[in-house]
Amino acid sequence: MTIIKKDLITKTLRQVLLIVLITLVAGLVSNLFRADKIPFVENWSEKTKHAALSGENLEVSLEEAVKLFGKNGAIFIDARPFEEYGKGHIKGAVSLPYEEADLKFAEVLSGISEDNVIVTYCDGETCELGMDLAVFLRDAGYKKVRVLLNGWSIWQQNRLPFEAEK
Amino acid sequence: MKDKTRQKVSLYLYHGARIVLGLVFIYASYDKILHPAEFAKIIYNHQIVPDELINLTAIFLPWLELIAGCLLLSGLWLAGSAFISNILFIIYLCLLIYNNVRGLDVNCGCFSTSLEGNSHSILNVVRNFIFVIISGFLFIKIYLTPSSSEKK
Repeated sequence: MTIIKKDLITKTLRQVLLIVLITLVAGLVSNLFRADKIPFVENWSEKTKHAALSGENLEVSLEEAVKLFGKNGAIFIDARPFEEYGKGHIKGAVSLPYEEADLKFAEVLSGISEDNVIVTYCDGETCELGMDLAVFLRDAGYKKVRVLLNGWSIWQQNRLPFEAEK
Repeated sequence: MKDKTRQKVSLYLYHGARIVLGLVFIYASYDKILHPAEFAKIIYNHQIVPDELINLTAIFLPWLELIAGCLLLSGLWLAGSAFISNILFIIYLCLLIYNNVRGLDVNCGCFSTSLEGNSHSILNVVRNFIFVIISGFLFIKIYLTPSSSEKK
C-alpha cells in the first residue's frame, strides 16, 4: 500500500498556504485599484430587492402579458443576445440585447412612443437581462415598461405563439 | 523496454494533465477577473453562498484559479496547485449536480460571466467530471507515485 510521505503533506500545506496568501494579496490589490471595484461585503437581499422593484414593481404576470399580446397592446422586447433571439422568440418581439442597449435602443425603438407599453423578457429563473433592460428603458424615458420574468421559458411552456429567424 | 514505453506514456499523460488543467483555470479566471460585479451576480444566483461571502468569493476565487492555473502550467509548486485543483473541481462538480437536481437554470459561471442560464445542463456536469478525473490523475501521480512525488 502506498502511503503519502509526511514531508509531501508538509510541502503541500506550505504551498497551499502560500498560494492562498498570494491570492488574497492579488484580489485585494486588484479590487482596491480598479475602476469598477466592488465592496468586499454587500447586502445582497437589499440589492436584489432594489433591482427587482426599482421604486415600483415592474413585473408583469404571464396572464397580463398574454392579454397585452392578444390585443397588440404592448411591444415585446427580447433582452437576450441576438443569437438566442434568432433561435426563437415571442412572436413579433424585437431584439434589443441588454449588453448593446446603449448603442441600439434609439434605433430599435424609433417610432415607438414613450407612452407605449413595453414588455421585456429574457430566459431563466434568475436571468436579470430583462429587468436590467426594463430599468434602462425607464431611465431613458419610457414610462410603461414591464418585465415578464423567465419570459421565454414560460412562454414556451404555455405553447404561446413564437417564431424563429430563418 | 515495455516498462520504458509505459513510463514515457505516463510522463506524457502527467505533463498533459497539468498543462490542460492549467490552461482551463487560466481561461476560466479571465472573464471573472475582468467582471467581478457580474460574477458576484452569478454566485448570488446559485443561492448557495451566504450573502456576506458573495463579493469576497467573486473577488478572490478567480485569482485563486489564475494563480493555480499558472503554477500548474509552469510546473512549479505542483503539490499545492494540484491539491487546490482537486478541491475546486470537486466543489464545482457537486454544485453543478446539485443545480441539475433542483432544476436551477442559471449560468454556472464556469467560463464566462454572462447571466443567461445554462447550469441546468448535463453537459456541464460531464465536462466538469472529466476535469475531476484529470485532476484526480494528477493527484495520484504526485502523491501516490514515489518517482514523481519525489520531484515535487
